[in-house]
Amino acid sequence: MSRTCSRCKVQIIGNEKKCPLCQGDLWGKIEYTEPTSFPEVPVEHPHRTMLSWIAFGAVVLSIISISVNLSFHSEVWWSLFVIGGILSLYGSALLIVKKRSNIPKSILWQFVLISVLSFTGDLFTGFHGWSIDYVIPIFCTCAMILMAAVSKILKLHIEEYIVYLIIDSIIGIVSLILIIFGTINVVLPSAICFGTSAISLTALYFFEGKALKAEIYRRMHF
Amino acid sequence: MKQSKNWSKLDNAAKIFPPTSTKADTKVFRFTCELYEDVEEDKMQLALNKTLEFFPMYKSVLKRGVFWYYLEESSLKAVVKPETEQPCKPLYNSDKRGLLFEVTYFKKRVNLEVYHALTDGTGALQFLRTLVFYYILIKHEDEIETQPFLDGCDASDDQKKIDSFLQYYSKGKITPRTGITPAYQVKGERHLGYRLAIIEGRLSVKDILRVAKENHATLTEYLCAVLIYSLHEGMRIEEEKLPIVVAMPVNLRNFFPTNSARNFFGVINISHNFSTQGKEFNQVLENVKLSFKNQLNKEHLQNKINLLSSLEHSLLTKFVPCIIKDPCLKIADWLAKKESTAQFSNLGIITMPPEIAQYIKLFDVYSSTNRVQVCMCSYNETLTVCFTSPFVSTAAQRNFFRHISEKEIAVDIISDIPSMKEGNYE
Repeated sequence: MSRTCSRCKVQIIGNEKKCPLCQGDLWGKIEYTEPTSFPEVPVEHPHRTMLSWIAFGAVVLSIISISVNLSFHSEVWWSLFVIGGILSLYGSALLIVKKRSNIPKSILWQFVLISVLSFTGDLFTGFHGWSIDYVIPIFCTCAMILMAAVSKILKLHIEEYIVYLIIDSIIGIVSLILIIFGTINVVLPSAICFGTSAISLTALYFFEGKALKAEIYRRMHF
Repeated sequence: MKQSKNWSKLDNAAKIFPPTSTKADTKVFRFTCELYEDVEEDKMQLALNKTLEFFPMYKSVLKRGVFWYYLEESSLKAVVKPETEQPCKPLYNSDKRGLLFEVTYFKKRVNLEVYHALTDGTGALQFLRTLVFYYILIKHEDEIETQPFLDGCDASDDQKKIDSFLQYYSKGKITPRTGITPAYQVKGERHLGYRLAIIEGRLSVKDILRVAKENHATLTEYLCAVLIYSLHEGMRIEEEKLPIVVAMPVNLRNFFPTNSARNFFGVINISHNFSTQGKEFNQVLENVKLSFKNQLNKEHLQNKINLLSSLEHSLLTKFVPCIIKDPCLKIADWLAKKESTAQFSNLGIITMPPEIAQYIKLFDVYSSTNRVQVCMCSYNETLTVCFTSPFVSTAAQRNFFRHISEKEIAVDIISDIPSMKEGNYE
């Protein structure tokens, strides 16, 4: 015999202990010992993940640096720099974890994050130009080389990385404009960055021209 | 030389799904076919490979362009797996390339889970029917003597890929929408971990049709009225000022013939205000019948198609980049949700060729949601009415099935309720 809920006047199929509708007692013997319709999937409780520990650590370190800063009556608010650094590292870790399954995308995002952070840092410390002279062009070049290497090692399809390579190359080519307008004091890193970008775009055009055009067309369709 | 990849634009209805999918509302729905015997994995895999030959679109991944999302052909392999996770878990992740559908099995049940951007219920059902058709053919090839044919599967690849919104869009006169009218919203504690509570009732088609006929209504009208009536209990008098609105997707293929295997549906809103239009069940039913009559006709639906398409094709929408469009679509979706209380989908009668039908017990369908959702379909003599809901309270489900069982109709209940699995009630 199957089990019934006499209040709801329905039959219950499965091994539920109570009526799913009214949570009342059921009448009859349990026929099934195992679930028949859905497997038992335990509810995931919000648990302490690696990310929670990293976030907690970042906040604790920030608080400690403020406390130390306060207790030594320093003229300079150096703890703000420490907090800036901690936040940057945290953002970077977060990005890596979130985008870990798409490595070329992850590389591009890291580069963008580093560029934005270094530029902001430069801006707030009197804009000596170290971000656009060194940090951005060097990381742009590195990102490009890294992407090419990763795509070869993981044997990625051209569609899986082409868009990130194009974006990175276009950013790299912008450095030429900065050189021409004299915004940049130290030319060498930017020149190398421009060269690598132009060469990778040319390579894409000659060897993967069709894929390049198709990708641009797809991504830009409206 | 490598062949360049096939790709296609998202259809009109699909465009809303990628920006509005969240962990709480994954926009994934599940069709299940229950057989009389346990599913065999390797044979199901063979059937899946065969089915994919007819539905090449299913091998796509979703990508984001500058202006719109699009589907791109991929070489990813679809693998049949045992079911180990909760129903309607996210299938689309912008950081991870993956197929937009999944075939899993649990004992006698085979599940097809589909991300809504790929296709709608009718399209997915066609896929599942084909899959089960080939599975039974492979499994019982010695027993089946005459060659069975699956109806509705003779469309070419091009026909299946067509965006029917575009096909039927006419730049005629459009009656514009009039403002937002807020509807009553169910509130309450939700299950942990974005889990859905599933409560499914199985009843005899004949019996429920008899009751619907006694009330001079169609099955959909009758059950829609029962749903509205069930949602009413638990409303505060203050809340009764707002109408209960049930959003109902309508399969536009019934009105505008097409072989498209992609999205082609429109939504009509069935509303009842308990404070002004009466509190009796008969009054609700009469009102529902009237709403159906006013909205379920070609002119009204044509206007819906034109409205949606004109929005999509306006220059302003076209040339605004995704980064700006996505939050706007999120807001639009949020506003649309304010206008309805629950969603009710009727997938209709599912048929299989007679040679195959004897091996199949029933079909059921579930959809992800962040409020109360009802999906129903019928196969042979069994009607399955499936509630999915994130809420711990089961008041609407209880009222609904009690209303039916009071009419001397036998109801079998199966359920998957997260809180009952934790031993909360032990």
